[in-house]
Amino acid sequence: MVTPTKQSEMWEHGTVSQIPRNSLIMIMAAFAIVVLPHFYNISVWIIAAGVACVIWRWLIFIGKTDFPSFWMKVALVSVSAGAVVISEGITKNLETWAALLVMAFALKLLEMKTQRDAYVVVFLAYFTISVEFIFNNSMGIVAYELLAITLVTAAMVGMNQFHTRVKPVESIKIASRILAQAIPLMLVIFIIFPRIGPIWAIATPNQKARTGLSSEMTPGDIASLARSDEIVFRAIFEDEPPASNEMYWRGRVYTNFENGTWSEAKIPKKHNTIPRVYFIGQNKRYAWFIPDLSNLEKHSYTVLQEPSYDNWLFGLDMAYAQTTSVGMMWDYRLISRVPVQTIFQYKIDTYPDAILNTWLPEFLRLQTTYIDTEDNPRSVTFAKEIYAKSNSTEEFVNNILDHIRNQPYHYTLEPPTLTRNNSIDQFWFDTRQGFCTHYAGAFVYLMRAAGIPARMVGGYQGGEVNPLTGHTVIRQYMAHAWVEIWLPNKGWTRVDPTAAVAPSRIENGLSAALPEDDLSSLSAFTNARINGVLGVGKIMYLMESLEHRWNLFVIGYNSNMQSDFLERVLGKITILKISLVLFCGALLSAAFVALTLLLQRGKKSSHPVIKVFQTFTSRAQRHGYRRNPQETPAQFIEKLSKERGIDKKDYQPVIDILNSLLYNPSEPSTKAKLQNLKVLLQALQNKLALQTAV
Amino acid sequence: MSSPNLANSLLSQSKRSFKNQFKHWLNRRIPPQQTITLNQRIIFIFPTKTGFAFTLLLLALLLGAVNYENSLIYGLTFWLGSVFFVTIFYTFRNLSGITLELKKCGKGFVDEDIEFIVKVTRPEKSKREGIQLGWPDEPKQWAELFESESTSVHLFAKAKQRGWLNPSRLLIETYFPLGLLRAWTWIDLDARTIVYPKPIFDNPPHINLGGDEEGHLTHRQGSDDFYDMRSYQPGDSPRHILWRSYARQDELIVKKFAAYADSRLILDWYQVSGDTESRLSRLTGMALNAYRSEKEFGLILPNLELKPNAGKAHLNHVLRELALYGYPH
Repeated sequence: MVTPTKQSEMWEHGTVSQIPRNSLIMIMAAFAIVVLPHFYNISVWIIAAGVACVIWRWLIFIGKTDFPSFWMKVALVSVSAGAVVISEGITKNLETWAALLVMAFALKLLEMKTQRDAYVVVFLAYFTISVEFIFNNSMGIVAYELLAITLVTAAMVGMNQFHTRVKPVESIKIASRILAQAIPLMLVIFIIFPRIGPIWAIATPNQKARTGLSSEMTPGDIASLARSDEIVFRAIFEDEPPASNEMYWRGRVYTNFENGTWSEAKIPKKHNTIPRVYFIGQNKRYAWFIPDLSNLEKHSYTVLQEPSYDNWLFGLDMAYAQTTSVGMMWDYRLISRVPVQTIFQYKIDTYPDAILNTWLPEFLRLQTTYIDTEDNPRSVTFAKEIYAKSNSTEEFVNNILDHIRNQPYHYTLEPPTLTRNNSIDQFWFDTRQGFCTHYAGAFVYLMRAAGIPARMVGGYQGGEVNPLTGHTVIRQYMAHAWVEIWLPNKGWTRVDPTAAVAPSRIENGLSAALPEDDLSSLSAFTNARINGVLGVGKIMYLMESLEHRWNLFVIGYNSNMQSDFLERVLGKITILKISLVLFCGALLSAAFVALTLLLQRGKKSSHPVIKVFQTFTSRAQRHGYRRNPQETPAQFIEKLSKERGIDKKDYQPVIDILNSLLYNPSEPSTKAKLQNLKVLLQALQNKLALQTAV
Repeated sequence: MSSPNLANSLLSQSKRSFKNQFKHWLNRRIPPQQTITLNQRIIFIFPTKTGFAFTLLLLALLLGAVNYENSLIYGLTFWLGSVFFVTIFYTFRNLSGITLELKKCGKGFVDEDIEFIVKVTRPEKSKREGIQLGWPDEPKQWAELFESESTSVHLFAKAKQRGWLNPSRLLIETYFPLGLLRAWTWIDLDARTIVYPKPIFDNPPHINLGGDEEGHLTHRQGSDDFYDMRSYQPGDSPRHILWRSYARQDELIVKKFAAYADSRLILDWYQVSGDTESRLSRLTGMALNAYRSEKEFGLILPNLELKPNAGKAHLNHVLRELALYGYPH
């Protein structure tokens, strides 16, 4: 006996079946397309190794070489895993995982023999696409990956077609049709699927690659940001956006100064009962830092923060966060509960006239007045002298600003280097060239030397309004540092010493304020946009506004937006309503697919006469009469009738009409005739049934 | 020792009874018919192993989307999920409306592959692809239904024993378009054919002379003496072809050899040795030899006697009796 199970397993779908030639080609093309954009994220040699694997697999395919042996595979896997670890380092970074994934993908391609292997490769391809989405969210990458997804899906189609039918064009056509028909349901699920936060800590893209403000600041840090054109966030104001020179986006607050480095301060440990952060909806009573906001003017706006893999957010003072997952810190910074790893939307109400810290806690007074006077003795003396001459704190501030205005101070991206522990003195009295951090740092030091609470604030200054969409764009080169001093009754008050040395920086932006030599170090895009190079600026605005809409509606679609949207459409959200929508969505898209598929089928599938006759034969069969395959309809009826002793006059008309309908092309098969046939057949059948019963 | 056996036997029993029940259910749902058009009543559809693996992939993607709060990964996940949903219709539609018709049941001997021809027809304007059919445990055959509206599929069933061959139900299945789902059905085309016993050609064939023993051996001619010519028919030995005459005219002529007067053979059950099956096999071999040498031959079986005769129809009759010996006809 043949063992049936063995054989049936052998022939079961996809286990031993060969991969059709063209499927193989599509898989290899898809591999290339899927891996290519990872070029930005992982080492080039891994891509090169992937290409080598494709070439090797191709050589196997055309018979020039053989599949790697078992030990060869072991060697390949261990060597490449080792190489990935050595080149990428053992890190928790996403780049390492992406490198391992691409490597595994390439090696699997190499040993791909059966359809089952091919499916593994196809699934790895989808997965690799999803990893690319973590690195890149742009519309461009989506357009590109659409191509990849179509090709990968087409490779799957190819594996289920008869080998003569597997042609890339045909498979791609089918794949595109299926993908297109799946879009309505995808949209419904996309809109209503509940967005829950991250479940566990995850590998994030490498820190190195990121730009932006950090928790420490040395003079010159911000100057490096000036070269970047990258977008930090966008803001959509409900009313007119404030004037550009009024837009001071608070990000970080630098209080501690040591060895020429500014860093952020924490509430001292002994005061750990003091509330540090306030989230909207919590009891405001303990939020000691929030002033009375009644009768104050406010601006409302939404910020779309680009991924920063960091918790810190930006807002205009005093920024009162209206989104539940955004907190207000005690020093008026904004913080997100989870690191921002995709476009993050949050709402802010800004109260420009609110008093920041109506009273100053003692720990804060200590923190914001502390300096090591021995480091920069000349500055301390200088501050004390000016302070003695001034009648009020305001006058003292103005005197210092006047000093900057009247003495030969210069605003530049490339100032001379300073020694660490004497940097303020050197800058203030000797070099007199610096970027915003130099001025802000020196200013804070001088204030503190005179006993005035002062600290440095880092963030972005300005904003570029896209004339097409009306939203405001904040880019890295707008990074800025300024000063706030605490005045009784006025609270923290902003002073920007940069405005004294380079008023155009605040009024007209960075490139207006920089000397000619420095401009060349800005990004070419920045210059082109700002100088309004013919046409370029317009196109860039157009692309930027498209990207903004994309971020707003697709990438930034989160639980807040979801509940807003759903509540607007459905009213109060209940599980029932959501399931109903999902059900209707599925039903609609099913109807859509069924319609496109069945329309083809609706076109008269078989000859109407044959259909009628088939009903007759199947009924006859129930009574035990079987039609032999070689019998014509006429023969069958004749045989049947003779066998059951039915008169010729009873069955001949049926045969006549049947033959004329089937074989006489000159005679049109009218509906009436068909109806007649039906009636006659029915009558005959009744007779037959009667006869059998007898 | 006994308890696992008991459990096993119980298990196999319940398996068998389940199988029987399934068979019974299937027979009621899809009764044997020589022509059948597939519709939603008789098409089954279920995810394949690949389909389940795909679901796992979707879960992994969803986890990625949740953890990275990435709209694009959400989108990709939902898109692929919707594709899975859409392909249900594709896979189902691929079989629905297909008509199968048994065209021919071949005949053959034990241990041969018996050919069955099934005509597969699709609705006129609805192109299908990736349809396979086959008997259980046999390799599947593809039915090309994209370019052509109907196609004949040659299926072979191994003849394991003589008698009626009823190659159970025919599996027709498709994994189109993505291999994530399988639509299939088991149909009974009422394919039934006769399998003849496996012939044994004993050397020399044990032949019993027929008629009374007085012997009317008339002129006994050598086998290279021929007395007549006739035109070639398929099956004639090429050795008997008159090649010289073929050179002159287009028609193939074969020599017809003088028949023996004593060539009326009786293939007698009682004159051959062995058990039932080997006797039948020997008789089959003898019948074939006799037919080939164009002798008249008769058959004696314990329950039946056939008068000597010649020709293809007679041979078929004899073989049929041999095949069905001991079975209901």
